[in-house]
Order: sequence, then C-alpha cells, then structure tokens
Amino acid sequence: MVVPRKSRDIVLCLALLAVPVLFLQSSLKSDSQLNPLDRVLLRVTAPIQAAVTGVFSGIHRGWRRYVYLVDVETENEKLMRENRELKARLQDARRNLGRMHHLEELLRFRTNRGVETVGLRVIGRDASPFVRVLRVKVDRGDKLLRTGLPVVTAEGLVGRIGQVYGAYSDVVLAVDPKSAVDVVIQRTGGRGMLRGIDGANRYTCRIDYLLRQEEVKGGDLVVTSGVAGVFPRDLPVGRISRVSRRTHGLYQEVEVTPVVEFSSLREMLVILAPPPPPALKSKQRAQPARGLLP
Amino acid sequence: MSRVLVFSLLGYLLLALLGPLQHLLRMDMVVLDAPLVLVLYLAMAGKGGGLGGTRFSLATGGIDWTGGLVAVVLGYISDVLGGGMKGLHCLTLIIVFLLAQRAARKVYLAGTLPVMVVTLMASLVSSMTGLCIRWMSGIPPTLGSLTVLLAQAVLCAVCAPWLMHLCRVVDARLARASAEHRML
Repeated sequence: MVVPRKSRDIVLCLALLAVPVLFLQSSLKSDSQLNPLDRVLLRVTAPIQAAVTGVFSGIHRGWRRYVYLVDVETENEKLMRENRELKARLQDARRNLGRMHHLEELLRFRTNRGVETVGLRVIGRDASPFVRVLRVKVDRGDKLLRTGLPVVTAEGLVGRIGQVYGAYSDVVLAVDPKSAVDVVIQRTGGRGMLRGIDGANRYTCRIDYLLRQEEVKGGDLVVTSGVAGVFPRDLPVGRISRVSRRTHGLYQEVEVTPVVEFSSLREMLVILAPPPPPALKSKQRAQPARGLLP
Repeated sequence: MSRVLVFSLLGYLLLALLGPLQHLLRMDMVVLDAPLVLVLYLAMAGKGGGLGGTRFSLATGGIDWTGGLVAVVLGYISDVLGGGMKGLHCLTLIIVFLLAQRAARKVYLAGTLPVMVVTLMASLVSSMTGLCIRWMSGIPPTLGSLTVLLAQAVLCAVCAPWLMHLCRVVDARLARASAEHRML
C-alpha cells in the first residue's frame, strides 16, 4: 500500500511534535527529575566542559598577561602615583605614631615621677656650633616658668630653662659648654661634674672631677645626683663612651654620649615642682636623699 | 542516518564548547543558540546540502527528516545541559525546523545578509514560542527577558554565516565520503 506523501508528512510532523510535548508534560508533572540518559549525558559533558574551560582560561590569561597590554602603561602610571601618595601617607602615619609614642612616654614619665610639669615644643635651635640652645614654646602656664628649671624627656635629662620671654623660652642643653650638672656613675657611685664639649661637631660632653680610682668603663650609665636641688636625682643623662686615665693627676677624662637624641627633639617637659615627699611612718627615719628630695 | 549522527555530534560539541566560552566572555545572559542555526541549515539546505556558499536551493520534495531528528536530539541535549524545562527547546527547534522547511520551498536565499535575516527571524520565532510556553506554564515574561531574547537573536544572526559554513564543510565531507563508498 502506497501512502500519499502529504499524509505521510502530516503524520511525521505530528510525531515530531509529539516527542517534545511528551517531554514537556513529564517535565511539568515531575519537576527536574533526571533519568539515566540525562545523567549519562551530564557526566560525559561535564569533563569536556571542564577541559574546555581550562584551555580557554589559559588562553584568556595568556592573552591578558602577554598580548592585550593596551592600558597597562596608563594603569602602571596610575598605580605608581597612588603608590607615591600612599607612601607619603604611610610616612606621615609613622611620624604621627612615633610622636604619639613619645607623648605617651612623656605622660608616663610625669605620672611615674609624680612631678608637676609643663609641656614644651621645640620651635627652633641656635645656629651657632658653640652654643647648644633650643628655642621652645610653652604649651600652658608660661607664667610659672623661670630660669634654671630642669627640662627632661622620657629618655632622660635635656637641660634647663635659659631665657624666658612670654610663652617662649630658651633651653640650655646639658651638652652646652656653659652647662654644669652634678652627676653620678650609677654602677660605681662615683661623682663628677658633667659639661658640654666646646666646639664639638656632635652632641657629647665630659665628666670633670671624676677621681682616677673610680673604675668606670664604656657603657656605664650616668645619672643626675640631685645635689644642689636643680635637677631631680637619678635622671639618666648619658652613657660613658670613652675613658682616658693619665699616669698623673687626681682625675680621669671621661666622655659621655647623651641618652637623649637632641637632634630629633620635638616635645619635652619642664619640671616645675618636685614630687611630694613620701609619708613617713612614725618610727621610720628619713633616708638620706639628694637633690630635690627631702 | 550518518548525517543525523554527525550533525547531532557537531551540535553537541558546539554546545559543550560554547557554554564555557560564553561564561569566560561573561555572556551569561545572551547565549548563542548553535542548535537553532544547525537545524535551520538542515531545514534550508534540504537533502542535497544546498548550492554551496550561502546559497540555498528551493527545496523540493517532502520533508527531510534528517533535520527533524537532529532537532529532536539537539533540543533534548540542550534541554538537559541547560537545566531548564525539559522539552521546551526541543519543541521550539522542531517548530522552527518545520517552518523553515516549509519556507525553503518558496524562498531562494543567496548571500550572507539574507541568511542573517532569516536566522534572526527564526531565532525570534523560537524565543517567542519558548516564552509563550513558559507563560502558559506560569512564568510570565518580563521586559528584561524580551530584551535578552532580541539580543540573542542578533547574536545568532551574526554568527549564522560562519556556523552554516561549518555545516556546509561537514556536509561536503560527508558527501565525498559517501561518493567514495559508492565507488568502492
């Protein structure tokens, strides 16, 4: 029996359309159910797609990294500019952090020592190499300032107040040739007079009148004695950097490197009043004291 | 039968390759519907594989079932791989195939631009059919989805000449193999 072509075509068209309709119907009934054929298809396809993704990713990476470099120069310049700005900011932040640490140290020093102080800020320094003087601005209470008051930082002794003019003042550094501070070698207890070295191209000083028999050596810490009541006692002044004993004479020559970095000084404290005396127990005798302590 | 297998395999490989490629190119929304172009080619080229280049003869005779079967297979595969409603893409491909085959009897295509226009229209028909079926199943279309479908139709139209050229190369290779087989 010969089936007409038209009828055959219609039947086959309907058959073709029936297949997806059946799929759709089953799909609408049971949502996203995978049959074994689907699973096989997905399992076969997934590794192929993974491999293709790997290859295309490699090509894409290579293209972006080695070939397509159109905006790289501009981007590079932009990044370099940003880098410079960030470096400057970082430097500022580091400087501020250092300053904050320094201020914290000063605050701790004041709290630990229990002394009354006023803050000073360096605004300039004397240009002469023969004079070691800093110009400072007094933060507050400038009326309390007077010549001779000790100036310190958390590291140790800086010097004393020189001229006072309103809210400004001069600080004569401990390394100034005119300065004289009574000091003690902490390890041996030997005493001497600390003076600045005239004309030296760095911040150093010497100890005068230190007896020859004192067994001092390099690195020994030198502190204030407190005698004469100008400076509080036991303030670090410097470390012995050179010792020279002559065969004759009463005294030895000792050079001291200050513990305070004078070249980078920014903030310091001036001690207005010594700490209050400790309360004594009824039967306890007062310890022999030096300097400002009773 | 070998034509069905070869074109089904070609469509499957294109699906497997284009998925990752489009993902890498960040074309996740607008997808090139390669099976549609293949089915369109089979519908327009008929049994003989067209006249070469971008010229398609006015197909004569009854329906070429190669394209129909390929449409079913590729539609099924793309439904499974796409993870959507199963049978949806299959149905749209078959509708496009039947319409294109019907049109091929009356229209003579020559040149790249007509091929692109026909592909654009076929893609729009396919997308709209899919949209209607989804609407009927409770998923209403949005303006965004219409825009995506339009962009997808344009993409298919742009890529159609190359894909059809590929199909023609495959067809030519198949014809040569068949001729050699007959001679032996």
